[in-house]
Amino acid sequence: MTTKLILSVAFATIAVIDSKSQDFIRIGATHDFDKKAIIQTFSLDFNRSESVKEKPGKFLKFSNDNVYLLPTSDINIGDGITSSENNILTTINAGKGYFGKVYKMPNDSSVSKVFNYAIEVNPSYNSDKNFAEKLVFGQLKWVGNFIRSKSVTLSDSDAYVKNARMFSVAVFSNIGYRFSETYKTGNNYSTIGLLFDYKQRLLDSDRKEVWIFSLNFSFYRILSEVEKVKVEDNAGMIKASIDKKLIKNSYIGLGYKYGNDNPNYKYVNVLEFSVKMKY
Amino acid sequence: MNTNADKLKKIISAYTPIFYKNIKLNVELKDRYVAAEFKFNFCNDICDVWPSINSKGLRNDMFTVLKTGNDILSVVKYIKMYDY
Repeated sequence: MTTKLILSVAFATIAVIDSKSQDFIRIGATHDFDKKAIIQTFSLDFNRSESVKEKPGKFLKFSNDNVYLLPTSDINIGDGITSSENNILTTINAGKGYFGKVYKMPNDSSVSKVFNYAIEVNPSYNSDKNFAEKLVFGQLKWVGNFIRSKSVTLSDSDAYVKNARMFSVAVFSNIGYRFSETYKTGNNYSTIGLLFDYKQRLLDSDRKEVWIFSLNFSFYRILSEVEKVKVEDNAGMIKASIDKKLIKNSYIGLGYKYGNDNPNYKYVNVLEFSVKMKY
Repeated sequence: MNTNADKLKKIISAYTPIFYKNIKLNVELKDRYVAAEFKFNFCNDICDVWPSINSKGLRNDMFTVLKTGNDILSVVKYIKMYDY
């Protein structure tokens, strides 16, 4: 199928915690508030979910004491620099995870909860698709997440997960170097920031996702950078989306993105309506 | 007698309201008994009970290759053969 034509890339941001990932082809129409125009978008996301990255690829290593190595990659090829991310990001997520014991509420056995966290050091590479701006950096990150699920009992031996939520928070710092072909210069690159992510899935008794809500917020302070590339001292992005199942593996979605991010810090302010096919 | 099947059912029961003795090991676990988000916790619980399982293989295969409780038991049984 289509997956065979494409390099197998895996994408994961919060590798330890994220568990939901799917490949999909997204076709949509985006209203760009700044350009006051509607742009058609077509993007291919490999093993990437809208907000947090989840289970993207395969672990290279996962030891008994929860030390892991997970190479991940995210390639975003969208139409228009400002209406969607255009970047190539590859990372080796290397960390140690601490997994809590799942706790079931004493007076409501249908709810299970857990808190996990991980500390990661992630060598990374991020560039635009023309390789005009390239960032090579190491990322130190502490990420925690809280997972809660509510199940519905169908009989004494059958149940399904009706509602699953994941909330993540991370503190990170990037330290590295920027190679700017655009300005024929380079400089140390370092940032410090925060990430919040919330995702909720509502499922039906066939274990199919009916609704997917996601909210993602990242904010970071730029400590050192090539001055000409920098727009402001801070950068960040907010992304919100709602997806609803139509039939089989197709979904319609509405998403909103505002902010600026590497490698170009170009502002994005878009509302996107899309149809997604999972495969 | 605390068989491997019983141990696995007890692990699964933390994630679902179903009483452990009634858990069926021939059904797909993901989003039925265990929400997909709990994948790593679930693998961690399994590795705690059977430390000689390949942690990497388990996490890479959980819910994709290993779909049912019986699939997991087939991994456990294989280890048991060599566990004197």
